[in-house]
Amino acid sequence: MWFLTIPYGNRLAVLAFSAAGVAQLILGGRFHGGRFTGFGIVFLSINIYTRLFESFWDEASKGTFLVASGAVALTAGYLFEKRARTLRLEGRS
Amino acid sequence: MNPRRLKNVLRAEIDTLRREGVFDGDLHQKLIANYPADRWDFSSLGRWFLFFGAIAVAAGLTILGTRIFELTLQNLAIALGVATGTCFLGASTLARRGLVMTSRSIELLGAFGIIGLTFTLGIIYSSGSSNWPMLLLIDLLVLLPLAYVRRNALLLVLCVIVFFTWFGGVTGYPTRPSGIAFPV
Repeated sequence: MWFLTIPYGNRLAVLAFSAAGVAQLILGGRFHGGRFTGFGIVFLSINIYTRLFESFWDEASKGTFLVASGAVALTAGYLFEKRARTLRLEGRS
Repeated sequence: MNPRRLKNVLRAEIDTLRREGVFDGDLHQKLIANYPADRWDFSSLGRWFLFFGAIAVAAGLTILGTRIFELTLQNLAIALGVATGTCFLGASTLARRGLVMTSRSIELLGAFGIIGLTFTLGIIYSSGSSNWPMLLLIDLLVLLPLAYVRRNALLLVLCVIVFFTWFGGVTGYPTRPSGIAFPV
């Protein structure tokens, strides 16, 4: 899994990799590619976890990090589903 | 053809069949709802965020719980039981409001609670056999019917993972007398 670790602190590569993950999410959502979206969020999650492992492993509380990021993801997912439901109902009426 | 365009083609076909009187308005609405062609695919985005969110929260609460709370095993079992019940009750409420994916993710959290509860009870009533994979088999017996009763594919995926962990535990991992697996 740690092949994603960018050696020697190459921040540009980290930024490019993160941007690619976000772009994959956006493109998946825009063009209705469920699998594309899935791969995007998987790679973004691994990327974020790798950054935690690289930079904040000793200082950060892993439990707090996971609960906070999970709560953000759950809230985002809830809002996305709520929006999808609203659009579906509007389409029916 | 990208998936969005494909959905538009399918919707047009469904509309045509409706006009030709092949099926009624209700069925037409149900079929159309399966192929949303909005600007953004909120369903898919919601599904993936909820799935990863539930896993991250479960892992985080496990780590935080063991560090912050110094519960006795009995109290831990009670806390897990209450949390699991709350998850399934909350999921039912959300499902009634039409938030199906959110309710399934909360049920996944509840399923993690069931696994935690089984292991806690296993430690409390340990006979010293070190047969920890059996606890996973018990989980599987609970989770598999639950997945079908609740029609939750996430629980079904969890059942597959639990099954293969049980299989690996029975066939592959030697255990110390304390019951903790270690690699050889």
